[in-house]
Amino acid sequence: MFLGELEKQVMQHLWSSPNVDAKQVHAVLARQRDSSLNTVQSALERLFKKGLLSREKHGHAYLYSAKIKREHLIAKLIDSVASDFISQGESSLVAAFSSVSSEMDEAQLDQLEQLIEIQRNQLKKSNNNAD
Amino acid sequence: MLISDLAVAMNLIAIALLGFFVAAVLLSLAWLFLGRYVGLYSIQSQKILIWTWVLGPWILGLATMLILSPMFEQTALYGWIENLAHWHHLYVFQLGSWHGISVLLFVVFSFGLLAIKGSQLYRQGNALHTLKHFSTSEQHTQGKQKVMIIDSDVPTAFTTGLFRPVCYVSKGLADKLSSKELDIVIEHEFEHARNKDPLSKLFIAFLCAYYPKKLALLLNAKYALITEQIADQYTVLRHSPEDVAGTLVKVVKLQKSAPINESSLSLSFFGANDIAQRVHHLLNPTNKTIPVIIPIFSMLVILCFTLVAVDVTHHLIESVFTHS
Repeated sequence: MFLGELEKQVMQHLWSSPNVDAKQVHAVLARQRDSSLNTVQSALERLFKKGLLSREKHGHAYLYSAKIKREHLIAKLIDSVASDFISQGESSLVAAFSSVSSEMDEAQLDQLEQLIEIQRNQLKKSNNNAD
Repeated sequence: MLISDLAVAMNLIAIALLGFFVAAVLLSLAWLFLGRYVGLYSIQSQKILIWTWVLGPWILGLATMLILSPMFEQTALYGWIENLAHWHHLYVFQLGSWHGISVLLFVVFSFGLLAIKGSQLYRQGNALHTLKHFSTSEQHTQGKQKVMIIDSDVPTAFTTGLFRPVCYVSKGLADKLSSKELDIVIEHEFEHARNKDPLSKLFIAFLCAYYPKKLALLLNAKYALITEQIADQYTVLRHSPEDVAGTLVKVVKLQKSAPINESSLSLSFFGANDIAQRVHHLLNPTNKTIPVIIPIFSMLVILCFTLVAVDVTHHLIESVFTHS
């Protein structure tokens, strides 16, 4: 997921006000930054192609809305920052606390929990015996 | 055709390269037989072993080059080296020969690798930047160190950044953990930051890329697991191993049940066994260290093999296909 500065601002705007055309987006963003209508239009086009926006033809213009929720995009971004690419043979640049693997099922996790519990109880017992 | 100083330099590079490849093959074979025993030693020993394996071809290649270089020509050692191996055309180098081509291929491969890793880094940096843009992250200071809180329900904690690593914890994770469990997660992440693990993992990934792909994946995964276990070990200084192991399993369970995870997101890195391995190691740590002399001695033995193999390969190829 690669987003340019303008694309980020467009996404931010479309989450709060959906169903807007390029002109409206430009009018709002022009207050923050100096970009032409053309630049805004191509940013919308790019975001649409990336699957982040949906659009509907309305007269001569397209009306754009965010296709992906903010929380969902954040989740995707976390994934691309935090996921290790080791399984695909690429490098990992992140050290995550833990990772889920689809191969690790609930039962195996429960087994590990039981193992930890057994060890805890054994320690308690031996401590009690020592007292 | 090159003659004189430049030729010597190019020949030395070609020697280093041949040594590098021979050593890589020997070390790959060694992994095939010995790799499974690496896990028997303490985490620190494992780390040394993995570094020996990935740096091996580079060190052995350079050592081969030094030994066959004109440096020893005037010394008593020369006769002994000459018996073992020699390079019969040190002062002549043909760019179109197999030496020239292999040096060229190596350079092209290395630049390609740098470009790939560079673009990965750039993309990841952009994703992080975008993430910070969308989710107002607040800072929490714990002692001298900072943790960034990500405003998201996705339960996650990670450390990223090559030279100044920063720890991130999501609200989704922080809210579901007790203060003790959160403390364990944060201490674990701080240890990653202190060890500059993202940088060392990148370095390892770069060096491993010269090995066959299957071995490269294994070494990368092994190293990643080692960095996790070192961080786990650190948290055990202030918490009981059972608490750390329990937190680990709890976080994995949270990540598995996260609703946002259904949408084909893969909040994962390597295989299933790793969480199990970390838990088992926390509960029953091994302290068996490997004496440093063993890796050093093995490297010396492999160096002798490399020297002989470089000599044999060189002469074999050049008696079958003469220099063009």
